[in-house]
Amino acid sequence: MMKRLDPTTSLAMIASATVVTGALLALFGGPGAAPVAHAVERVEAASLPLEEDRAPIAQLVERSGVPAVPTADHAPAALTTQLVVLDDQTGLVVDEAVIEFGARVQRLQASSMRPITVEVPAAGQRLQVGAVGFHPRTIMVEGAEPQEVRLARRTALRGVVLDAYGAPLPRAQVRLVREPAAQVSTSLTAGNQATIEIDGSGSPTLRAPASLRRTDATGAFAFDALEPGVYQTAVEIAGVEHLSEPRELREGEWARSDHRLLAALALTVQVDETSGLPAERARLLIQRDGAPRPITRYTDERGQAEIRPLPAGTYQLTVQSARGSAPPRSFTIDQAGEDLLDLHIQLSTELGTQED
Amino acid sequence: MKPNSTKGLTATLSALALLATGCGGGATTSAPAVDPTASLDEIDTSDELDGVVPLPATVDDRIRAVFDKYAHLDAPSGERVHFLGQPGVSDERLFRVKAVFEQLVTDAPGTSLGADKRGVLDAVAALDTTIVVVEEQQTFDLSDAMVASFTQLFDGLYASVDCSMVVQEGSPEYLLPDPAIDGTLLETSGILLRFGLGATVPDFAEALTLARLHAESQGLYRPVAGQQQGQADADYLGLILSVYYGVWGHDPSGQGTSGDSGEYDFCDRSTLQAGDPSALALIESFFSPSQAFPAYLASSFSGTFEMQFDPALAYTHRSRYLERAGFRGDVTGRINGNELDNTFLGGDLADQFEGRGGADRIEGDRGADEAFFTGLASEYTIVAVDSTVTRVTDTVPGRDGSDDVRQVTRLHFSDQIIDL
Repeated sequence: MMKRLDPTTSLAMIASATVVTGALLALFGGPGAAPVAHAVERVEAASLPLEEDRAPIAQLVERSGVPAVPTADHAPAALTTQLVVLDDQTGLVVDEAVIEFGARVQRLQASSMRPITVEVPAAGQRLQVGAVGFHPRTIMVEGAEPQEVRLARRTALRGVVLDAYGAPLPRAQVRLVREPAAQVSTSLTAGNQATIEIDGSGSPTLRAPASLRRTDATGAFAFDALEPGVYQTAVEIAGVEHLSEPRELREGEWARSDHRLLAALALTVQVDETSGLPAERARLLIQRDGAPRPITRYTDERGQAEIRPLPAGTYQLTVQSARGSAPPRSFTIDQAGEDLLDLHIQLSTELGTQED
Repeated sequence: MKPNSTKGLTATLSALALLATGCGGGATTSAPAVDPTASLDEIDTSDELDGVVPLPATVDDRIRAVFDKYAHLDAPSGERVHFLGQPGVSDERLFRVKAVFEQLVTDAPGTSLGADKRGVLDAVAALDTTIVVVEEQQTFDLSDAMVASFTQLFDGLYASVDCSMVVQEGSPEYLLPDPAIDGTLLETSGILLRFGLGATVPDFAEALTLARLHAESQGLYRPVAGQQQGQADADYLGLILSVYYGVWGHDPSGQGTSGDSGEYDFCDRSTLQAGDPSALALIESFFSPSQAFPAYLASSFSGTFEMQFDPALAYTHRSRYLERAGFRGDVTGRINGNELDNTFLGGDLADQFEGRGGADRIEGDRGADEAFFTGLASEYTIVAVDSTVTRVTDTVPGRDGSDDVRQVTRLHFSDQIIDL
């Protein structure tokens, strides 16, 4: 029944099976050393080239507990070089480049004063260099000398989401709207490519555009690799949608689609247990009248959560906690309302939020 | 370990462990003298409803020293995938791990790559895959003499699942307003990828890598640095599957992200579809849109379990994707279904089920079980399909659909009760 193979055979089988996560256990680290109880390192046979003369699998593991096989992650860097990634249209340095090397992706920040430093096993190594808004290029690392990589722009829509005071809104959801609305279908063909087809006219590619992005810490977002066409972006806060002006995008063109939201009110909720202690991880549901779904937040270790910005409207706040319950509370924000609203919720001992 | 965290899964997902055995870390180079699963192959589980049995005395002492219960999955080839549970792992948890794994290798009709998964399951079983469900990964002490002996017996070739990361339907941590993150999908999908899926469906494996790289390059997915391809792919697959099936839908970060450190920009199926369509395409090429494993409610459960999505009930972000739910033994209560074609499984006591939308099946089993319907009795047709099954069909479109009930004693309508 058991098909225990000889080590060489089992390596081939396991490698071909994309199977092995090798967890190397050092049962004892040596005299007087504390036992090491867990897997400490992995050997990905599948990530290695399958060569006929591969060493037996047991030899891939050193006695010391360090994988002996050089991999993309563990191979000593034989060559360090610098890449200067430039916008082909402006000649300016691209801020954030994406370097793909084998099955790894590195997002690297650069500036005009600080080129990107990459480490590769040897000259001749191929890298794919890309950036959001640019066509990726595959380059060969020729040597230690700095290399200039010029990237051509591809069609993209960029923007920023700010509140009424101009403060950036991180993590805001931005939805891409194409005019006329495109029918997006997704499928995976047998030809091993995940394909995204837009209106049936887009060429099958894995790098097709998505229709939802989140803003980064600076409130910025970007929709990349778009088909030429007319686009808008939409930011929804509590069911109120802020829609940008339509922008027509031509091939290789960038356009901006900024949002400055009117809503500026910040709601702070403090939830306390009956004992007066802060209620951590209480679930807050803030439902605006007419909105399709509530905003969800959880209180922190101080029993607090902040929600901002909230547009004008009438809201119902529901607090759910395993430590008690509280009746829903309504509040209204008008257009000329206050900037801050603090609500204090005291839970009662009645356990009403858990289904039972 | 925090119940709401999946940290530690990286270690747990060491899955197929290649362990250097013996003191001093000397690596074994020869095959073990005995077949470690030989004593498991003949265990009869047919008498148990859930297929979980105590390990019999015929099993190798080195296995019985660490584990005390057993279940298995039969591959089309006739070989087995073995499941072992530690004493602190309940039968229902071991069953759930097996059931979720089985679901992943069950044919998904209509998908481009997953319509026939026999080869995948055969490949998993051909490796004599043994999945051990440990009480808690952090306390599964590999330096313990008995654990070391077990590990040596298996030459390190087993996969482990951390029971503390298994969040069963209807359990207290599942029903919380801030439900604990269930790591079962993450763990079992990682095992599946390594133990068979990657090799037998290379198109899937390649597309997975491409989808992950795409998500990383776009900044949608920010994984732990320094992972190698297989682990990175497994983690990404586990996360997008968990998001797809609603595990993160209650938005525990409050920021719409998922993952322990918010490493993925999406937390539910709709945002996954819009923001990372490659991931959605990948999942829907191989897996079913709903979860078909039998979700038996935890033994601690009482009350009503809702499967229809309700934003006010955090756990319905998950239960909305369940097809099958039920009670076992003396657990009882009421289950209200969702719009899927549900199957409800009754236990030993009097259970209550309401199918709601879809073509549902109610298997009452023992006890005086009852089925509930939305409308007046006159709005339904009630037909005996055979001597055991009664079909109740709603004539009002888009409401209760058509339900088949078996071993149910009463039908409750809004205006009357009909005894069967």
